[in-house]
Amino acid sequence: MMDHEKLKEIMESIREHIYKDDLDRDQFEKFIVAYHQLSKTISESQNIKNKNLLEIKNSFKQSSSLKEILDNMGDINTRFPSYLDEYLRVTLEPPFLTPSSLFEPEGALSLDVHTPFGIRSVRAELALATLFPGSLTFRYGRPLKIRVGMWHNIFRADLASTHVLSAEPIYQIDINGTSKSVYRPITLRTIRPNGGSKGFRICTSCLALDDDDERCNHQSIRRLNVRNYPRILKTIGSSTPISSKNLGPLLSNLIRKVRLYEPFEARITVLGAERGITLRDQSRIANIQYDPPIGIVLQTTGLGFEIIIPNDFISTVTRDAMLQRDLALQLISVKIYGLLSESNIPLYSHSLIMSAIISSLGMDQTRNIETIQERLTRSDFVQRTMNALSLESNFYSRIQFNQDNIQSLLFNLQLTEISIDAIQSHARYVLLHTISHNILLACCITSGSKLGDLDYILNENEIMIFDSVNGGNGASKMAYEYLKTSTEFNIKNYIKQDKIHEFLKPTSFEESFIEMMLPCLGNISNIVFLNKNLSLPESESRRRYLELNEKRITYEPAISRLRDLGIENLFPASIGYHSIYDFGDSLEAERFRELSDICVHGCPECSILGSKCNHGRFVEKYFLSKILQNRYMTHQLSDYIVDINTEYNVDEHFNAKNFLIFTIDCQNNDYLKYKERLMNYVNAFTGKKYGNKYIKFSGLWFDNNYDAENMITYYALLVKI
Amino acid sequence: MVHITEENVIIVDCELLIKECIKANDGKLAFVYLISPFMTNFRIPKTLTTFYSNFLNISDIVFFSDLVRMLANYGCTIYILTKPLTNQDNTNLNKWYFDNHSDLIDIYKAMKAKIRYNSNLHAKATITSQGVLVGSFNLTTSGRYYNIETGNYFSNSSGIEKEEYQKKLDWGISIYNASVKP
Repeated sequence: MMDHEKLKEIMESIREHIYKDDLDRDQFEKFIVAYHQLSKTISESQNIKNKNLLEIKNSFKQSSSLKEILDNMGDINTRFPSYLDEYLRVTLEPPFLTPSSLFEPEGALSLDVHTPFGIRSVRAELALATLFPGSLTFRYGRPLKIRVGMWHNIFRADLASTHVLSAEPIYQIDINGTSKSVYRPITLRTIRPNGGSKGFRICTSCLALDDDDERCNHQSIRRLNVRNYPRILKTIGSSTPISSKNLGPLLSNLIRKVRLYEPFEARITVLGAERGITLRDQSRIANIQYDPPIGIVLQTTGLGFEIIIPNDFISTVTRDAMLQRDLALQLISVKIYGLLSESNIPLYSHSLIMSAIISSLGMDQTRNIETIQERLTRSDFVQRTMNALSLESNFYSRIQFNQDNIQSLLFNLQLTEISIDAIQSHARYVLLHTISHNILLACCITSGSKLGDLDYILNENEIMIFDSVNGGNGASKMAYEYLKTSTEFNIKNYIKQDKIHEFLKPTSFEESFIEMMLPCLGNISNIVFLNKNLSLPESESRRRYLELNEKRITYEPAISRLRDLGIENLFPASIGYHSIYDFGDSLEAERFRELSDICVHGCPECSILGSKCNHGRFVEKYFLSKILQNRYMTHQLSDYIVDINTEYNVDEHFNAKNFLIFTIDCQNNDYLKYKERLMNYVNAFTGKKYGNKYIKFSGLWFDNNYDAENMITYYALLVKI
Repeated sequence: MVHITEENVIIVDCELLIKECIKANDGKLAFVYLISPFMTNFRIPKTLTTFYSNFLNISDIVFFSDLVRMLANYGCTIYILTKPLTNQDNTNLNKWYFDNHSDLIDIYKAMKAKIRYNSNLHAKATITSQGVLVGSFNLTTSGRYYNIETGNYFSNSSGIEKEEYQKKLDWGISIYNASVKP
């Protein structure tokens, strides 16, 4: 066999001759092609000769897996598939792997959107959040709607016949005890809607859009602005913790441990969409359920915050009659929310129905849950509620209900269990959910992310925060790195160069999370406003108080009504349209509704996430409780709270524990005097040494106690560092 | 009275200034005298400035000057008494220190702090309406973290401690007044 190098030499000499002989162009090209082919064949034959059996076997395996990938790609049911990018990517190996797009994170899942202007590829998680079926979009230049089909008769959208979904379900989810298959969307189809930036033609009765996709038979078509929100369920797949941290003083009383999960598998399922309009200053919302639900699986990075919720706290706090009644109200509200779609009733009727139920169960009068349960199961409950609902709907917007549907809903509602067990279980969930909102916000602040960059899932006592993009975006990892551990601080540690960065890291998580867990000024100023004889100590709370006070003259009847009801009854008062109070004037009733929706209970504005909430913006307030959160904080810190007027062995305390909270109750409106007394008391501990640690003043806040409404209490935090 | 060493001087420093912010927030007379012949702008560990409140905003503090700026923003009067460093050639200080000191004085001037110089100054003190910190420590990175130092803290509380506080305050005011304006 001729030597490879010798052959190459011969070919090179031929090439030189051809150049010299000035061959015509066609012949020259033929030679160059032949030259390259031959050269390639020779080098390949050389490589094969050098390969051993194992390498040949490995190459064979690799070619089999490549064939498998190509076969799988061939099975993908796409209308206008382009395999080129995917094909090129499987033929390359790191570090030569090209990103699928320069502007997308590596490993991003994508799906196709079939528009009149061509196929557009969109990141899957973005599509589920903004381009879900039934939504309207302006992102392709002209208004487009993602098709949803005719859903208005049964409030269910058949997605399998409207869009291209994966052939097999990607996972199963459990919804109210029923297992449902979830499919991955592959191609979403769109349609040009009737309307644009000045509103869309929509049926005000069922909220179906007037287009060829979901047209209804009602006659009440108007051009209005339409709001759409997806209803998303997030669950956890297989996830592995790779490290964990114990937090420092105060936080360690609330969070047992923080774990970093990598990979973290999040299953994002879109169960349906909420569509809303505003008609005559009132909001109307319809709930569309997807059949089947669609979803994706994200492989990302996550954090797990294990929250300490002692059983004795739940059993103690739910003994409070006001909280019991409010939690029962939340339970009923959540149950109705679920029943509305099943009974084919638009979601906007929720408030009216709730208002009628509050009236028929007398929940604005009684706080005893046994009485509420007994009234709910009575045979005349349905009729009494129907009467109240009729009064309510006639008074306001004269909405016509299908009587059979309402009756069916109320009969189903009668099966709801309003027991202490159900309330305790709801209380635990509501508390965990409220804390999860605070943790998500604190993580966003710490990592400098937007709400869209992070997401959350509740998993028993663990709140999971994760990057909301496949492959992760670094936000949760950054929040984890900035979490301060219980590492001891002292100057000797600090000045060691290898430790210094630990102590210079921002404490944004601790500060923002704890401050969100403290009593909020809105809450305090509203309580104080309703207890007319109390002034306010701090300038910001005074400003909020004055803001409410500005409304005093115009809102006088509503304010009187609220003061008569008392703070403990504000939550039921804030739900519904309140014709039951018979103001005889719709404007007055509206003013009452507006004023009662203030931050006393169930209106935790600082924790509200809107459409980012896992339960959707409409029912969010039925899964949050600021009062529960405040009581939880007080309970968790109770062993550390000491009134400065009581006898207490502070030295003994500091020798055993790492922080202490001094309090003082203000007996009159001279708050500055009491605050000064507290500060003077705290001053005595400045720089004091306990063991090898020193006392540091680390916090000052105030609260208004619900149990003693005319009282302001100041708290000063001392930490041993 | 509390004995102060290099281990707790920065803790007491930060605490004194944060408490003065609270007082200023209440609309009461709040002030601070920072007396030190040498001053540099040093970093403060976040652990020392972490503060939880539902009505006060104590945040974004990285350097000591940030803490002083926060005081100024809350309406507290800031008095600075230091050595005049006008010509590096007359000192044995290195250029880095010399520049840092001048830059810091410029930062304090921009905060409308009232600055005075005294070429004989050797005393070191931080005096607020709530307490006084006196000792061997300069208001520099070395004085706060690296050197072995000693001193005392007197709070404006009651009895002998209050008397001591008052004496130190009067002393601080008098040497400040006796010093020259820039």
